[in-house]
This record gives sequence, structure tokens and C-alpha cells, in this order.
Amino acid sequence: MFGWLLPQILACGAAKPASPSVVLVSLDTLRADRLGAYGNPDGLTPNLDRFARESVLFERAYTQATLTTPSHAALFTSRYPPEVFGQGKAAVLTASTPTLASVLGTYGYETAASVGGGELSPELGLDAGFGVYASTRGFDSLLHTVPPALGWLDQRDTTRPFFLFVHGYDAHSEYLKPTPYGYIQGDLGASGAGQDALRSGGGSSRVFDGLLLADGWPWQQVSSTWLRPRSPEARAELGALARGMQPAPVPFGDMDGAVLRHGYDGAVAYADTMFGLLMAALEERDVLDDSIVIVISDHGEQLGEDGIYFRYSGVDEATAHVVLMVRDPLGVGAGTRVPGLVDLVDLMPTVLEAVGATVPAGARGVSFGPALRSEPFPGRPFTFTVGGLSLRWASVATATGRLTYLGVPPGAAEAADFAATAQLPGPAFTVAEHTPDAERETLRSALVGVLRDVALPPGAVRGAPGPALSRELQQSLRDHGYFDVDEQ
Amino acid sequence: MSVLWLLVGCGGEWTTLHAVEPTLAKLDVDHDGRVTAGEYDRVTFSGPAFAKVDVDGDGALSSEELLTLVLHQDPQRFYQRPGQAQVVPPALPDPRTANVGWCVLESMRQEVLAANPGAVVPTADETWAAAQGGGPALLAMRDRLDAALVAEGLPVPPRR
Repeated sequence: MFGWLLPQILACGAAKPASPSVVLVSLDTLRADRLGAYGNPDGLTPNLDRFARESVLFERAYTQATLTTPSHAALFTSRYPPEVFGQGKAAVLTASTPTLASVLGTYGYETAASVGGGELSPELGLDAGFGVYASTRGFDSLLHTVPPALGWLDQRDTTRPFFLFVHGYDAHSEYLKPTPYGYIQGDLGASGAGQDALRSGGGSSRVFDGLLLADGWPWQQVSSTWLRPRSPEARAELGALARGMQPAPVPFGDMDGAVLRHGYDGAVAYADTMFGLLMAALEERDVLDDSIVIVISDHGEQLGEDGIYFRYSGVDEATAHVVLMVRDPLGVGAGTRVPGLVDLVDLMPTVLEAVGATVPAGARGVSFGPALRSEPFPGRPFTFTVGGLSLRWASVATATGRLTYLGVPPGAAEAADFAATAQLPGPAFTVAEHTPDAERETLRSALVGVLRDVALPPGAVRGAPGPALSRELQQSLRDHGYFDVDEQ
Repeated sequence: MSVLWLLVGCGGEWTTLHAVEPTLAKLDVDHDGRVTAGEYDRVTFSGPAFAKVDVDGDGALSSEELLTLVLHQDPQRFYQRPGQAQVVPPALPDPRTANVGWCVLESMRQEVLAANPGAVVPTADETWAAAQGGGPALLAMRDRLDAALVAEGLPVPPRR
């Protein structure tokens, strides 16, 4: 499908693999709308913008989960998150599902991943199918994950194609990055709740509804309430609880929010530089000449939308809209922008099609290869995303609307019937403001269809219980705001 | 970077310096082509002082100096929060480490010396000059170090 064959011919008989290699770069927590290539005028991402000019860019790509672990699980398996998680204290990818790495491995690819730990720690099962899975201790930057990836590239078998996955938490909280990135967008004042949130551990996760909550706040007491903070009752309940806490929360105003957003933008700029350095290292190794390079983000971030920061609840454009760009080694389609809807689950069928591999049965994704070949590509009729630490939110979006559901958990046998009969509008649904009234039932039908597809029979249990997480990983997750990791 | 990229209108190779140059331009708020101490101080709060970052002491931050700064600040550990133990920032390393070619040559040289401290090998300054020269100079230096490794019975890293 790509022009990758021509460099092989031009190489005049050098012993190169017969199939294109694939490099997949995941930039954690990167909102698509922060990139210049996606319309941001602030100049935060010159390296990613250059990459976009060399790539096919998908303007409306969506993640299947607004958290790192399930998002990558869906990406790697082309299955919806409720289908690929077992039981346990945290979401754990079940081992029985074919993954992008495992399928490519059967086609002779060497496979390796270098990830920033935390929500991609091997304990959570995302290592399935990789020949090598290097993980740092937790929530690390590309600064830490690129060197192991390059080390692996330098010693691999150059007669075989490879699949390399590189991941970094550069845009993830904590937002404040080293000089000069921390305040590259301006500091808006040296003190205040915004600066406290920016400079403290897990800061953005402690902002709720106009309040900055103190460190050490007992999240567990309110985690079930936090799952539905968009309801007025839940907000009132949580707000009353927050105001009664000691030390008392402090007001978090608009300027504080701007400070936090500037900090996030600095983190985005840092991620962009790290990405540029990765590309330079790949160039140095001639990888760009015969490899497909794909850049994604796994989810976005709430930066004050609806009074909420971080991404604990709900599914919306801020959290579900992600970066997706595909660079052909010969520049086929370079600079093309694709407006049709695509999901990250579509990536696995696309890559497998590109290398001539068979897509496993049960894959939810559909190849967007036609778009890469500049062929007609209408895109998906709708996208599907789950959210919340317990994946209890479910959302569908079309080109013009979004409907988000919180009721019987997706995956339960009763969920589809509940969603089909619940009042709309009503407490089980949040309808995005831009959604035409006439589209609500269309969205509901799409949602019910997916819930029916992913549901287990009554009483059935999906997968085996996952292993208990190590204390170190649990603490690392808590430190970064995943406060109810014990309650999954 | 394939020549074919030039045909499709995409410019230049991806290099480490290109990766940081836009950031340097953003720091140059008065657009005079120099990032001075004042412009640097505007965005730093716990990073090294300008005098330490301005390695060549010319009063302006260069792309190479910015790259060195970026590569040697750990985003997990650069900032001391209230109540945390004082962390002494490491001295800025040799700015030549930003040059990947030099790092390869230097690692080979060090490997030879580790096996045989008395081995006759190029100096670090010579490997640096070869890395800066690039092309034939770099390849010739690579040949010398390959031979030195072989002489010590050490494996030669694959060439790409």
C-alpha cells in the first residue's frame, strides 16, 4: 500500500527486510487541539507540525478510553476496552487476545516496546506479544524511554523487519517541566492556587469545581461520587465534603486555571522537543527511510472544561479527541488531512493490512488504509469511548454530536437494555451542547449496539482475576492522582 | 533522509539541533537573534544559572547549549518541592554529548582503553574533530577505532 518498496530497490541489493518496519510513538495525555497541525496558533509543537507535513493527518481520531491502560489495550488488540480486561484491583489486559505485536511476531517481525511505566507497567498486561518490553519505574518522559529503544534498535537483527513502540508521559501531569519549558508560555504570576497546583505532586488532579484541595485529601471517601461529578447533586455533595475538609481547600479561579493551562502547554512544548529528538535519532539510524512511523496520543486532558481538570470523569472532546498521524517512508500522502472519523482500534487492521498480515477475527477496527492511499474514505459512522477509572462511562460520537452514558457498567449483560430504555434526556445521559436534538436517538442506537456487542451473558465473568499490583506501582499510581486504584 | 523527500517538498533532515531551534527562537522575545541572560531568566525558576548554561561564555544561548541543557535535566527530578530534600544539580556535562556521532566514537575509544589502558588510540579531541567534520573524516576515525577494537579482541559495533 505504501511506497516503502522503492527504497529497497534503490538500496541496490543491500540485505534489507522485505516488509516495512513500523515505529509507533505514543505521546501520553496530549490533547490534539494543542498541536499547530490541529489548529493551535501558539506555536507549541514545531516538530510535530513538521511531522504532520510529512504525514497523513487524521483530523478526527478518537481514543477508545480516556485512560492510558485501556486506551493502549484497545489500540494493541483492536478490541473495545470492556472486551479485553479481566478482574482485579486495576484494569489488566487479558493474555488470550491477539495483539498487534503478537501478530506481527508471527510474520517474522522483531518486536520491542520502551514505555514510561505507570499505567503501562508490565504488571498491567500491556507487554503481551512483545519480544522485548522495557519499562521505566513510573510516569517517565521520552528522555528516559528513547535511549533503551535506540539501544534495542542498534543491536537488532537488521535482516528482519521490526515493530518498535515508544511511549512517554511528557505531557502528563505533573505539568511543570524543566527550564525553559515550565514557563515558556508565561507564568502569569509567581504565587496563588494555580502555581500551587502546578508545582505540587498530582496538582491538577486536586482541582475540582473551583477549589484546590489539600495534599493528602482522602480521595477514597468520595471516589464513587467523583465518578459522576457532572450531576448537580453529586457536585453539591462533593463540594460540601470538600469544604468541610482540613486543611481547607482554597478557591481556584480563572487566572489559576490559566496558570495550569500554561503549565500544560509547556509540557506539550517539552513533549514536542523530545519527539523531535527521537526523530533525529531515527534519522541518524536510517530508520525513517524504510519504516512507517505513526504518532498517536492515547487520550487528552480536561483543562477546566465543565470546571474539571485532569480526566477522572466523563468522556468529551477534550479527553477523547487524539492525535493520529501516519508517515510513509517515501512521503506518500504527505500533507494530506483526512476529515473522516477514525478510532484508535482502526490502527491495528491498518498496520496489518500495510504489511500483508491477516487481521485477527473479532477485531473491532476497520483499516483506514484507503485514506493513506488518497482513495475515497468516508470514515466511521460513529466512534466509541469509555472513561472513568472504573471504565463506567461510555460515549458515542458522530461527526455532529456526542452522547455520554453512565449507568449499568458497559460489559454487563443488562447495560444495553438499560441504555435503550433509560429516559433521554435523563440522569443516565450527558448530551454534548453542540448535538442536534434530532441526533440523540441515533446516538443512543449506536451506543446500545456497542453495549450489546461487548456484553457478557448474565453471570459470566470475563477473564481471570488479574495479579495483585505491587505496592510500588500502587503508590506510584496514587502519587499521580489515580486515587481509587484500590477500588477498581 | 531520502532524496525522495526533497522531491515531495519536505525539507531537510531531522537533527538534534533542529529539534531545539524552534524553542530557542521562542525564547528570543526581542527577535534580535540572541537569547540573552534576561530572556533565559524569564523562563527559568529552578534550572541552572545562565552563566552555567552559556558554556562558551559569549553571552547568548546557542542551539548546542540549549540542547545540552534539555538533555541533562530530568523532568522527574529537576524541581525541589517544599519539604523535599535538597537535590544538588549535577554539573552540566560535556556539551559534545549532544553529538550522536561523537558519542559513538567516544564510546568505542573508551571501550578500547578499558580493555587496555596503554592502547594507542585517538584522543577525545581528535574524535570530536572527526565527528564535527562528518563524512569521510568521521568514517576514517571509525575505521581507526574499529581496528583498535579488533586489536584488543573486542567486537566491532555494526554500522548502519
